[in-house]
Amino acid sequence: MKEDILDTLRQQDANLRDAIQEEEKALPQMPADLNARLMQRVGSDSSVRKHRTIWPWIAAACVTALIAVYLTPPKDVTPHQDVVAKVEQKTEKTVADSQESRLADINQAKTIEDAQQKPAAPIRHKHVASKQPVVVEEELLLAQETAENALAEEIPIHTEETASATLTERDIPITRPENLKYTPEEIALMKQQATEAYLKWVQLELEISKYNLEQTAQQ
Amino acid sequence: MTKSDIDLIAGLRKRDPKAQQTMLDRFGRDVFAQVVRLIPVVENAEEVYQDVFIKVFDNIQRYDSDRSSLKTWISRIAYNESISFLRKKSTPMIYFEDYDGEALSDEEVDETFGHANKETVQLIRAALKHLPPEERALITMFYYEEMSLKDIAFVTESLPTTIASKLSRTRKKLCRIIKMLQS
Repeated sequence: MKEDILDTLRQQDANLRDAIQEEEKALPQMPADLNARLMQRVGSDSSVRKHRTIWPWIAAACVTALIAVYLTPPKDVTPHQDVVAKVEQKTEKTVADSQESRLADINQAKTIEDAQQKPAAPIRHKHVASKQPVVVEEELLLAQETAENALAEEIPIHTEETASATLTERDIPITRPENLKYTPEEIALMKQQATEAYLKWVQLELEISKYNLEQTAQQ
Repeated sequence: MTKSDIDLIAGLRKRDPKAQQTMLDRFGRDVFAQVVRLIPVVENAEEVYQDVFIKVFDNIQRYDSDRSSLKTWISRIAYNESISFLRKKSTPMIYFEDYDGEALSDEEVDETFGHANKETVQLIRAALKHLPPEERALITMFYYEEMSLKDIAFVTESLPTTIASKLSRTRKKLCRIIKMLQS
């Protein structure tokens, strides 16, 4: 109904139709090369689209792989203990090294002090030349004893420090491949377990075959 | 739908350049006219025209011949692209806004548009420039392209009843602009 009314209006409104027709004629014409340019664009777009369809998938796969690598927990934690042990050994070794060097320093310092405190020593050298090594040895022993006493007091403090020091993930990153390897002890243990399991399996097989034989003999 | 249309759509779905060229030859001028009607700057109209056909080529799989003719479907894409371009890029324009002022009788409106008069035609042309692009497109689709209400509704993504009332309102609005220009 409404459509009919509007159709009659369309026929009636001659002025409006004429005006719109004149307006349409006055509109700018379509450039002759527009379609050619469009076809060129369509061609280039389709070649770009081929690349576009592939690269998001590649990127997504790479991201997924990275996430999987970083989020998957390591299979075993024991390798870290090995690394921790190694690190502790190293620290103890360094402590021992430092102790030795300190002992040498103390010895040196002691001899210098003694040399300063005993200016009459050279005179002694002259008179009792044969006794000189004994005095030096005694001095050295004394110095060693004092140094050892001093170190004995110091060593427990160092070991306590090393024992209390906790290694963080930053110190021993679990993501390092060398930390994910089995230790020789673990490999030996695994081999032993495998052998035991194999032997048990053989025994079981034997028992089964014995049972089968018995059954057939009874029949 | 004719056999040539079916062949054309099949070719477009295969991304055949020949089919694409045929499509441009057949509908290009109408689409450009439709776009330039809404976007008077030729450079911008060319850009939108290209976007329209790229969209047509990309979305030809979605075309449903039961819902509309190919021409109407392309018109819908062209209309939407032009309107979205206007909303995004062009500077906002102030158009004549209808107001509840002097009420115009239907006879007065019919007389203005009905009786052939060259002076009135020029006045209507001037008045058309004061209409917003959507309303101008609506009037053109109805009076110039002689599209049915259903097709206009499909192009503008609206309802035929809404289009009918919009047309009636725009007609009265035009008449009011003419009166304003005369005074």
